[in-house]
Amino acid sequence: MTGDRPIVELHEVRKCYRGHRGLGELLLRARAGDETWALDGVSFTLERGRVLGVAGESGSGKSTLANILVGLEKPTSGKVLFDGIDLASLQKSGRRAFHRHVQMVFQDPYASLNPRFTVRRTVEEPLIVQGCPSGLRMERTVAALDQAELRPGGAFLDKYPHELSGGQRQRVAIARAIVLGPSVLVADEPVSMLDVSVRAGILRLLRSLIDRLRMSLVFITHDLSLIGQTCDEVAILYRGRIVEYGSAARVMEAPLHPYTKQLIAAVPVPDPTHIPAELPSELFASQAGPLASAGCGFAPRCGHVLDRCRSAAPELRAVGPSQTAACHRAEELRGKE
Amino acid sequence: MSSAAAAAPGRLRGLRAAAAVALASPIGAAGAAILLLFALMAIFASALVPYDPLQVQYLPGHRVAQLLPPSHRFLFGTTYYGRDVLSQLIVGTRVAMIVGLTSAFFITVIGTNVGLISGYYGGWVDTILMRITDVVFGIPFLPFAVVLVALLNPSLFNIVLTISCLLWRTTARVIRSQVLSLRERPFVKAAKVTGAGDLRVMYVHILPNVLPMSLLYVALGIGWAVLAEASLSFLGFGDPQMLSWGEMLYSAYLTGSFRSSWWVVVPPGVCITLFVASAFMIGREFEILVNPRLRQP
Amino acid sequence: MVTLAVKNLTIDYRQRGTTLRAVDHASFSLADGEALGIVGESGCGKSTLVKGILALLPKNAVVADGAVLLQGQNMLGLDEAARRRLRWTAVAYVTQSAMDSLNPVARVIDQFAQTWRAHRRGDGHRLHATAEALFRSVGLDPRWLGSYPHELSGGMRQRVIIALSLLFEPALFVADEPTTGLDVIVQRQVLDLLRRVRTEHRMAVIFVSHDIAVVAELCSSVAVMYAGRIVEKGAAADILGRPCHPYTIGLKQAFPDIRDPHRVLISIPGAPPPLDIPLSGCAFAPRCPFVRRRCHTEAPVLRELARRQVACHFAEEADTFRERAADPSIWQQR
Repeated sequence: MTGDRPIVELHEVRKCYRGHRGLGELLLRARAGDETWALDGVSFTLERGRVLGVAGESGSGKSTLANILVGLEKPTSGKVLFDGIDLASLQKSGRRAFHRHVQMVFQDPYASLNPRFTVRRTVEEPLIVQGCPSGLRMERTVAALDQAELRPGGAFLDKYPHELSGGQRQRVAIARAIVLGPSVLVADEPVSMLDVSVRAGILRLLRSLIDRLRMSLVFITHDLSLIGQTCDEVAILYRGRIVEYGSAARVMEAPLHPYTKQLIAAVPVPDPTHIPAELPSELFASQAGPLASAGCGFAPRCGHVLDRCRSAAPELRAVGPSQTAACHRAEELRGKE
Repeated sequence: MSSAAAAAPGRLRGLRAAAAVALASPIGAAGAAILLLFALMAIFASALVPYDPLQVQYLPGHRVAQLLPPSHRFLFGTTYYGRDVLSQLIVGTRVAMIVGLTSAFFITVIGTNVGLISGYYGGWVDTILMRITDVVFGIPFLPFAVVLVALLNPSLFNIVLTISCLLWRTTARVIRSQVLSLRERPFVKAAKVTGAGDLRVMYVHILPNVLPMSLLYVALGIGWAVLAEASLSFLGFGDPQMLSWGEMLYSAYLTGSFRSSWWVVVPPGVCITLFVASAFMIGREFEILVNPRLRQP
Repeated sequence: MVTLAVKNLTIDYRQRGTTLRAVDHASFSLADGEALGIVGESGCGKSTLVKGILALLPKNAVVADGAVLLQGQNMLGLDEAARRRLRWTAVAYVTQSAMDSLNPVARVIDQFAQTWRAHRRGDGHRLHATAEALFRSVGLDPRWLGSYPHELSGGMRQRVIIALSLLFEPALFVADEPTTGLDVIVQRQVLDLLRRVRTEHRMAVIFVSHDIAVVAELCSSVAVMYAGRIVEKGAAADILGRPCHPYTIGLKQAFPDIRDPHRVLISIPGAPPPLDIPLSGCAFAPRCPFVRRRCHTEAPVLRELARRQVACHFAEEADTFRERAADPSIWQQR
């Protein structure tokens, strides 16, 4: 295991969902129903010890991306490498070992815990599945709860999810995710269903776990105001493609892609004296219809669209020192709304 | 405390909590009490029977005690053949309990597994299993049971077999729809992300959450099974070597004592009714547990 | 003209022998064209408060005290038939899940017609024109009037609901978490719409939200709720710009601002108190970093200070509190 190889690499990952084919269609070799490309050529690397934010709205493909990262779904095409190993090449035992290294925290703290399991049973389950000897399990369970700031860990063991607050449930979910000592944590909207006053604590916990346990984090969210807080790098996802990628600070401060700019401008600000920016009316056109494979996916809604944008899909390319953007006019529109 | 057991789905742990749920309301408690009485009757039948149920009773003067109305000596009177109705009633409880409990057990086991596997895997597996279930749904119970029992010999085993082969269908459908919604929940995803295989996810993670529903169908299954056995016996397809309440009705019908002697017909009829009703009453309590919206605020 | 006056509204929930005080003597008033934001976290009572105002409480909720005067008329004293007449015509209510309350088997225009018929007699021929105008005002193409709800996206459905609720030009418009769960861009659209509705229709508006940013954008005045009580109340610029109550200060510290990504967000440790135990003293005392002995024994009442009303014994020191609040260490778990 080389220290400087990225822990996760995605190369041109595509994921297609085909509409449901009935028995009749299958037998008659009828054409498949609608195809949806949830991911359309996503590539990025995750370095060890770093936090990558993935920002996108519904339909961006972020949930599919999360599923692929943790091995719940296989890409239709493209490669996913974990520590240099192609996931597609893994057999059953290899897959099981892989799960030890990549874990997930989910959006809904209540629904992500089995209502019939006690806290102890929930956190212990990964240990049981991965064959941890029973003598060690209790110790590791309590340690994981302590690390998730549920202290003393022992006091929570016999509680059921419905007896805990939202923040506590999410901490239990985090304890479950870290109990195996994974190298990568995928957090899918980990705080969006928590009260505002509790979110900061969870985010800080995640950040401190990254540092202490030397993990990497993929932080998926639609709430852009958290990106600058928590993430080192950020990828902006739009309809299955990364439209902008770069250091979180740079992207939030000086976004390059029109979509990123609108997204940031659209977020309401907790200041009554702030006047929200006018956004181009094209932005609010509904994104109906399949992604045009020729041309930029954002073209129908972009306020700066040119003919070129509709015919040639822009590549994700470097524009400036630590930023990449998939826009033909990125340099030209730099600094503009 | 029992209301807390009903209010918190996480709290259902084993039979103790299930009992707490059943006893939570007067209806459930009544149902449980009746079933308990029947169970005791079945267990202690040999001690409780005043007479041998198959032995012909005689009056002084060597007359057969035929179709005697209820009296001190024969609390529920005697049958056409001179046998004590009460003793038959008590012994008949055994058949009801055996058939009821074993059939309910098999119905629930088969139905829950079919529903679990079908709902979890989806796709081909679901299609095939559900089409089989649809076919089974289409089969009318009594005619099929009659045919089956006529082909095989009418024994208690075959009756239980027949009932179990057909009546799992509702349980399967219901459990499947519960599983369909449960498998989308994040905690199932979380289990898979830890590397758990399909079997483990189904039986360790999902099954405990459908168990209350299964218990409901155990209760209902007891009711269905006893009713089914009584119907079969009444039609003459019961196990001739086992005395059941349905057999009592069959015998009364055959001998024509149906119309003339109410004491031969009413006791077994009431027992069947009470047994089935009490099973349903307990089932109703479980249904409230499973679907909290049925609960009164 | 004061459109809405709420006086000492107190609402209890009865649950198997225990009583929870969900709203504790809440008072505020709203003039025409004024937009009030009610801010608080889950369990603070804000949804119960508005349901109480609209008389939409569940059966186990009881109004223990207080009055709700809508255009001078006491809503609580009315019978259900009178209230039903008022609903939708004088008062509109849009909730987070309102977009799911559209009848899935009826076309949108039919639902307009149903609503119209339910609350008014006759004049149906103007309905189509009215519906078209409303659609345009919420930014929807009128051709969608003929479609079924499932053919519209979530954001579009939410806008349909807003259009429907404006059908009778109500005097009071109440929205409970109207944009929670919507995508960023869609939320922006709905927020812009709500702002326009507010100014164009001169209604009195109440927005309930846990999202301070939404409230900051839409509201001219703000009431902050904690454990069933209003702890701070006043103009939005004052409350959100220079909060005086420690809870409001904490909330502000916990809330991210996209313009300032490097500010450290701070959680408020602990959890709100259970509502079934009557509180002695300030409800926020167990979690307050500035707590003193008096806070545990004497419940603070709302009093006039620094151009607002605030319920804190030591609100005079708010400037110091705000400074100290930026330090994460004072918010540590005790």
